[in-house]
Amino acid sequence: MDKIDIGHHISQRYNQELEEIRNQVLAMGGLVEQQLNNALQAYSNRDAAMAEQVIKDDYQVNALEVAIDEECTQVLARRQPAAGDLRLIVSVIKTITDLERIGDETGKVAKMTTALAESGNNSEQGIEIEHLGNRVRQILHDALDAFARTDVDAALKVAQEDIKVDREYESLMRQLITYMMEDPRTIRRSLDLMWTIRALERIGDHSRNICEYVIYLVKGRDVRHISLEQMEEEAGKR
Amino acid sequence: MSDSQVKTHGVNIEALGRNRQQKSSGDEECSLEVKNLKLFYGEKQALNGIDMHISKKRVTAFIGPSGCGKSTLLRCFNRMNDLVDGARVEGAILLEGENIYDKSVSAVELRRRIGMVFQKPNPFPKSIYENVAYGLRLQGIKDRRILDESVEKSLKGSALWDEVKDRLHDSALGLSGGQQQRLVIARAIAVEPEVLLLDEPASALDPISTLKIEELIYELKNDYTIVIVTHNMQQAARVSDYTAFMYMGDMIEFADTDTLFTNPRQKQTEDYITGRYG
Amino acid sequence: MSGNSDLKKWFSTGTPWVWTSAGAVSLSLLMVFGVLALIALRGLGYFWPADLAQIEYQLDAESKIVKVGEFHEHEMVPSIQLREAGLYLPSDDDLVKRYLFKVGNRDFYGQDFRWIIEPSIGETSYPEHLMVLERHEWGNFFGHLLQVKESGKVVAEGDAARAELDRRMVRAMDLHDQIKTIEKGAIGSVNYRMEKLRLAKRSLELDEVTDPAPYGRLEEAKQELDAEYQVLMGQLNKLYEKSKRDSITVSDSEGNQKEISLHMIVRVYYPNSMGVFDKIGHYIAKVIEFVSADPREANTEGGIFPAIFGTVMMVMIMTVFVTPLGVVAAVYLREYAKQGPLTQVIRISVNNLAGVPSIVYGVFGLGFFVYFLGGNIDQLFFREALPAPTFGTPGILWSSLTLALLTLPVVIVATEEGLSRIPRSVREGSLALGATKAETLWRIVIPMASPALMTGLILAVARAAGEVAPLMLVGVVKLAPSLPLDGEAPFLHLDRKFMHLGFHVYDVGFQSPNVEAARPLVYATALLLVIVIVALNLAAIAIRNHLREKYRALES
Repeated sequence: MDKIDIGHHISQRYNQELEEIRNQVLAMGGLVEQQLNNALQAYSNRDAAMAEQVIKDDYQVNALEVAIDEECTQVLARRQPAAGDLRLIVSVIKTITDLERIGDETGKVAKMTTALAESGNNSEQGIEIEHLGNRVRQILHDALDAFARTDVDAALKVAQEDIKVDREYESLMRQLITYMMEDPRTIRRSLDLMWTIRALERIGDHSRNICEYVIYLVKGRDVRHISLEQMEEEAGKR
Repeated sequence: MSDSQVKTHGVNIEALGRNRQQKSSGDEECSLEVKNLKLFYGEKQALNGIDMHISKKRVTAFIGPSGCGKSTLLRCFNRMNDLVDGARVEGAILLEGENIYDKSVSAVELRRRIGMVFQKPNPFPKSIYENVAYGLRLQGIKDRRILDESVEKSLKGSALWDEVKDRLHDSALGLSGGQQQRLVIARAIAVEPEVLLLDEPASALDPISTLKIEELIYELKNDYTIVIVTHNMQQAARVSDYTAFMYMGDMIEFADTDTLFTNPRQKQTEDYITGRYG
Repeated sequence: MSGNSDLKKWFSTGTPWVWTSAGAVSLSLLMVFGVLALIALRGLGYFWPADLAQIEYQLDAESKIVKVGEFHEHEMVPSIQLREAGLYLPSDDDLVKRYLFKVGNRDFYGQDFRWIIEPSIGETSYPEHLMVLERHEWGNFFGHLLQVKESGKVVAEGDAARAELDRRMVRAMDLHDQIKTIEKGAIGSVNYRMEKLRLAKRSLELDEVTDPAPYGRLEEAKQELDAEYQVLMGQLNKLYEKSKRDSITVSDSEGNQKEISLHMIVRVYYPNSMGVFDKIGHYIAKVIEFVSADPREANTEGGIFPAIFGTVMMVMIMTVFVTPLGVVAAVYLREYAKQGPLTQVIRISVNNLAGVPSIVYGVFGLGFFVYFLGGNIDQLFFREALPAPTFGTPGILWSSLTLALLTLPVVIVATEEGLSRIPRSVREGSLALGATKAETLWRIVIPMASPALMTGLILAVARAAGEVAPLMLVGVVKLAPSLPLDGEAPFLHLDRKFMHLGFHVYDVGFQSPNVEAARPLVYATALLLVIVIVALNLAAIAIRNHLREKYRALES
């Protein structure tokens, strides 16, 4: 029972409804991933126009969240899902909240990009931030992948990866603090950068949350707010 | 209130944590213990060796598709299957440690200790009062005062007293379906059994009456061990503490209701409660 | 072409079937009402006081006589047949109407009825003073009142006689009632007790008791009864003397005179001078007499109360036997017996019993109940009465038992049907409360099956009340001296023979010495039989409907 089966209900329409919800979540994930890609690309290229586009497109993510929420409510009311179906709906409701937050954080990255593009100077941390961005992008991708394939192992891997993101975030923060202390003129720019990396770190956290929901969905275990070891133990049970 | 317990806005956080831990029927006092119970109708085997514990003053629900043996198992508890021609039981059911299938146990005595309520309300064609007093009269109680008291207590116990107190001597057949079913429950608890068996008690009732019965079951849990068979999974989920899923005469899964309905272990259970092809 | 398709269409609507079934129902209703109407018309007309006609009748070409009587029925007869019989016919029509003419006065003419032919009837009149006397003997008298006498002396004559007679009739009727009370009540009671004493003495002798004390006590009691009897006889003789005081002289239409003592007269009336209301009053009095009085003159006059009483009594005793027996048998077959080929065979046999001709039951009843059971009971318990049989002779007990046997299948089948319709859930409800199977049966199942049981009883009663053939063998008689229920201990005398309406119809209609006179009575009795059966059925149906209402909600 390591894979969640959303088909094979006696009610064909129920199958279709669940399938549609799942597809919409994946579509939403794809959209959010695309937004993050665009934001990071805009950041790399200091492309203010592209960043503007990302901010503008965030409404699509919001709209999808509302739509999926609505559908989940409908299923809860009409079908009274149980067991795997119930966990799927609960996970979806939580997942889309996190996806929406990722969308928001992506918007923040884009906003900072426009600010950086205006100020026009390159930073020393550019490479590291891009690296962090890529890592976060990978995490989000893996998290969505784990969700799509309801893959517990992949989900656990994302959780491990997120720890690396946190470390990178911390070292970047330290660097930026050092800069700010050395040269107070860079404070404004450093703060912008801090907002950016802060947003990226949050995206990593949200991705990890999504992975926790995947584990809940598949294993029926709540693995929030516990250590990675405990999480692995829980996920490995049964 | 000990210091170690953290209280926030009246919520006992420690207790919340404990609730997350798995409940197990093993730690509670056991009322009925089923040991390798097999039942045959002639050559056909209807129950394939059931083992289970039924906890005292808890609600245990049996779910499963039609013909899975859940009603048959329920009817083993008060030996109703004795009445079926060609039915044969192997194994044991212990009520407070005593095997009810022992030769020294009389089925009639047993049925006074284990009451039963059926699918269709089946009041007797007598007055409301006489329906409730029936079991007591069978026991030879004639004292009007004892009967009056018992009838009132039972009707209050089944949440019917306020609706019928002014017409106790009217025919029970004039009551609505839901009232009749509660009357039947009152009739069953009037003899003060230890266990109450409910065989799809709400399947013939409208949703509001069903909810009243469910509410009543919740109340009765304080005094009786309740075993309920139901086709309605949501009902099992709502009223029971433990749920057993049966399929083709086997007990597939028996767990606390929270677990069984969110995270069943067996694929067959999952498929059944989520409405998939078996 | 179109006509054909229209017809087809009409058939496909189903209307023809509705009409066919409605027609069948109407036909059945028509037949039922036809039978009832015929019986009612013939039977009820019997009590209406017919006018007395005084006719001149041509006996042959010269001689004429005057006759008084009532016209009854008429028919058309070929005149040739009458001529061959040697009758004088004034006309030469091919067909002649002839009347059945009730002339009464059996003591003069030997016959109540005469056939008279229409052409010979001369002048017909209805004189007001013509009188009808209903008598205890010799049937009705039609004629003229001449004198009223007291102890042989004429006290009134001519027109004054009528009023005087009315006055004296009141006294005569009163005396008659007193005589009857003593004869039937007191003397009957004394006789019954005397017989008891005789039997007691005989049983002492049979037991070879030598102690003289009990014999002495019996002798004392007998002497007391003898004394009582003597007193009663004295009273009776005095009453007889008194009642013989008055008499009347009457003459028939031909001038034959006769003196009739008033104590022989039941009723005096003058039909031609009666108004409609007088006639209605007379009618009601006759109907009441019919249902409440004892029969007279070989059942052709008077009432049929003993027959009504016997019929109802017999049906009730039968019900008492058949109900428990049928219920117990049905309960066993349906609830306890293991269902299988054997019960199936029993069921088929029971059903077939219902088809056995009733006379066969009569033969069985006579052979088994009367001779075997009754004979043995007499041997064991009523030896003192032998060789006169007590139970070893046909009686109401054996009749009831025979009919109980006859109707048993109906009750068993209906009860079984009822039992099988009680929902399983109700039985289980009772069992689950710790009731045993027997408790469940008696407290829940049988009360619920009682409407079906009542249906069975209704059918049984209807069949039993109408059955005659087997009863002729096991207990019914033409005239029973006493009712099976009276004031003498043990009050219910199951060994007595009884009268029955159905048998009464047969007896009066076919065995009577005076068939013509009795024919209306046959119809009246038949009507009463139907009414009794309907009343018994209605009572049972009322009980059943009440029970059904009580258990109504469970039928759905």
